[in-house]
Amino acid sequence: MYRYDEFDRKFVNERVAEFRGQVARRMSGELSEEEFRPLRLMNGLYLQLHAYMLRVAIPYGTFSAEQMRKLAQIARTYDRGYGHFTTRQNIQFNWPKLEDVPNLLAELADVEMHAIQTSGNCIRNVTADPYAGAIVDEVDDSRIWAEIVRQWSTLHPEFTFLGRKFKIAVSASDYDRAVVRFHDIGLFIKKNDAGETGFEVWIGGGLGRTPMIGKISNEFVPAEDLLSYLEAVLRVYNMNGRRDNKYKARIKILVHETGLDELRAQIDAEWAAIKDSALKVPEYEIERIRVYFAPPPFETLNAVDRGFETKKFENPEFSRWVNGNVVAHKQVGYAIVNISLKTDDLPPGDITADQMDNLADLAENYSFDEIRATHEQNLVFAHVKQSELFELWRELGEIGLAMPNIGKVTDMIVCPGLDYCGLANTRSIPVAQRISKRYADLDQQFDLGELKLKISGCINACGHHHVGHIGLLGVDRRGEEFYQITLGGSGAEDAAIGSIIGPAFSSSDIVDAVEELINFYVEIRNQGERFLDTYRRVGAAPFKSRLYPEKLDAAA
Amino acid sequence: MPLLKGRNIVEDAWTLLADNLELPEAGFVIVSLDRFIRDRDLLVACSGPIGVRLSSAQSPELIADALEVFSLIELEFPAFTDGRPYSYAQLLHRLGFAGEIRAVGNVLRDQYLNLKRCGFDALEIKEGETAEEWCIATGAFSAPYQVAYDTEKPIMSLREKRLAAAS
Amino acid sequence: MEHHVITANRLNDGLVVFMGEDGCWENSILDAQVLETDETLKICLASANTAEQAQIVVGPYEIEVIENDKGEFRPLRFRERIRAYGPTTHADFATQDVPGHLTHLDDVSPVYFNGVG
Ligand code: HEM
Ligand code: SF4
Repeated sequence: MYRYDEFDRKFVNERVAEFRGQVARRMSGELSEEEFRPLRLMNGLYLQLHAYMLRVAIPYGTFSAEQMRKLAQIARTYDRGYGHFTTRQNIQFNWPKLEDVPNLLAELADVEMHAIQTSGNCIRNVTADPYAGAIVDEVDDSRIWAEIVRQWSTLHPEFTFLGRKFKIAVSASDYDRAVVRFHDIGLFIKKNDAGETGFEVWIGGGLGRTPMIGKISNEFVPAEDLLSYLEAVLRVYNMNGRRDNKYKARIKILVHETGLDELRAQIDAEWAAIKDSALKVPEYEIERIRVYFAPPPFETLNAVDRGFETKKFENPEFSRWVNGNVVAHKQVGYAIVNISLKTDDLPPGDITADQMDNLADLAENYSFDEIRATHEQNLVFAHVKQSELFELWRELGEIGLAMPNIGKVTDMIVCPGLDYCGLANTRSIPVAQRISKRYADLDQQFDLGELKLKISGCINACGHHHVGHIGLLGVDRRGEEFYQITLGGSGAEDAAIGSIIGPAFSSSDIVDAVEELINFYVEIRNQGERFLDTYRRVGAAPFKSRLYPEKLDAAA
Repeated sequence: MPLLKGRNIVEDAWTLLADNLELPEAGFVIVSLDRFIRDRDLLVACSGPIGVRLSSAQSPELIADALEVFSLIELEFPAFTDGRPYSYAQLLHRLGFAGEIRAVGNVLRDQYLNLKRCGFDALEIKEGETAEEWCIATGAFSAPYQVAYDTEKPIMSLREKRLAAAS
Repeated sequence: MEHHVITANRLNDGLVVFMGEDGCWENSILDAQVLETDETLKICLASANTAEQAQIVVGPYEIEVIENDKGEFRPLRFRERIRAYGPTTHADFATQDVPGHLTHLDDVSPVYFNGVG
């Protein structure tokens, strides 16, 4: 994985010093809250419902055991013993004191981490496929390019006060494991016929109040021109994006209002003017970064490990975990292991400091000292020997992290909701916990197959509800918690935005309503059909009439 | 208001001309875009230097065909969170504008580095503020990650230099 | 007039605070000064704004409260109850023992609204 050289190290330390000065000016009153707010947000520091919250970047989701241990220590010292993984390869800590944050950042800098641009109206932490470097179908390691974008975007002088946040994701597969199409810029790495690397660029995706799937602005930007192309897009957006209404300030609205063809023409004109400049990514820099992402020293192993096959045969629980959470690796004899953070006891994405320490040890022992964070608020060990899967599973079980529910109904994306968030209409986590209890039976979860349920506590859609097969959106009905259901969304390669199915349900009724929808699916599904496929086949109407039978009666 | 240029507060020879006031022959006045559009011929004919002030909603594209008329262009920040002028400044450089680019309005001193890197030559600060305070920001980082419109060497090229030295 | 208390977040630690009898900022809503007239509300909001100017609190505002049968004042709005009593997701994060605040942790039915008051 990428390691800082002296330049990166110095830069991050200087950023900590700069923020320390800003905090001191805030405490002394030289900076008002209004002035300080954008400055602290650009360093990941929010003031939430109960306290401050710091969002720490895990660039493109890759981090080491040492970094995980530091996060554990931070959870103990500054949070109340927990960390919370988000949907954008960040980790959040609640409850830090303002005066402690500079020290916290200095501790992070010690292990080459930071909170730069994890919030604010700037280019956010760049995300990538969590299976990068391990998955068979990638054409390149997306992290190399994400790192190049990270460096270019870090404290970019022109793009730190954009109209709104700006999110970039990179993937190198046809499968989309990073919700690339719902980013302001989504990059798919491609090879052209000549075998050269380039990027298919999607612009104008986003969730929030007006969800939109991105559109292709360029089918092949040569690798060396990546930064000039990004700069052209950002410049056109920065100059022309709306500033009159923050709900219309994302690039998705500019794409929508300007029209893709016209906007593409503007971008191309800008690009042409700056393409042949110092923005070209030099080959030595690409190679320098590529070296860091060289495959770890894999052993030459057999495709089939007897011990592993036997264990699977003997132990149905292990076998179920393998079926649910383990994915084929491109290196023979290795596997990609998903570690679910949707367990019985904690809110989705939460992890205790002790679990973090334990996982750090496991990563060293089983996965070349490397951990990944996914946009579904889970973790990944990317390089595990098949022959060691059983031992790893057993050890994960001991720390409560062997839940085999990846992609299942209880593997929900859930925003913090009103339990933490000042913008929320309703709570999200308690609904998720009640759904988890309802579907605690793993046999039933496996029978239901892939089912993506996502919950947001308000229309900002941090819980990705628009792209849930089933999405729940919290709404306020005369001061009470209600939840609106959307069906048919997807954040993957078959991207779609869910449609609202009908009037919202009260908190007491929402779990029953979800169960009713799922029961209906089970009744009408074809062999092997996912919930989403069934919904796409039959459409919304049958689900609607099942969920709101009285409406039907009234209409009849 | 004091004018900060580089590391120093300097004398400001310019004044902002209200739209209803007459154009002085000696120039050194800054007009609005509206005034320029209305009195273009007069302004072009003026023997003294002329400046124009653009609001953050007015792109320099609007004066792209008249850049040689101006010795000074002021880009206005209505709020320090409105980042459009950063892009305008670089656009002006690219369009070949050779005069002075100034930031006016609401900027935080933390933004001085960004302004300089985007090619602003000067900015108006508040009465009582010192150049030293503002210059803390420009010294905050030893090297930037990306190229911009200053002469700062980005980290990438420092790496190249080190690489070359090593081989 | 309805009853109000004044709340904010403390600048330094960010925690939710309530304005107490002597104008000090208290961590518990039980220690809050309950304001019964427009006049006192106005005066206290002004002094809360002064506290904001003095870098003590951030974003002060008033919330409506109602009295329960034990004579305690509780926020009327749901959001403010969560602010006053803590997240409902971890038993040990609740700032006060309030009936109903954590019901869903044991089970299912969100009787939050009925439980408090
Ligand atoms: C906790 C405090 C949080 C606040 C105040 C907050 C605020 C917001 C706001 C205002 C938006 C809408 C932005 C827009 O449409 O322009 C948004 C979007 C989003 N947030 Fe959050 N958020 C918070 C936490 C989180 C967390 C914990 C996650 C991850 C689980 C998250 C992930 C996202 C995502 C993925 C979006 C959608 C981005 C898009 O529109 O493309 N946020 N958030
Ligand atoms: S979706 Fe709404 S409630 Fe949930 S974290 Fe985002 S802003 Fe808060």
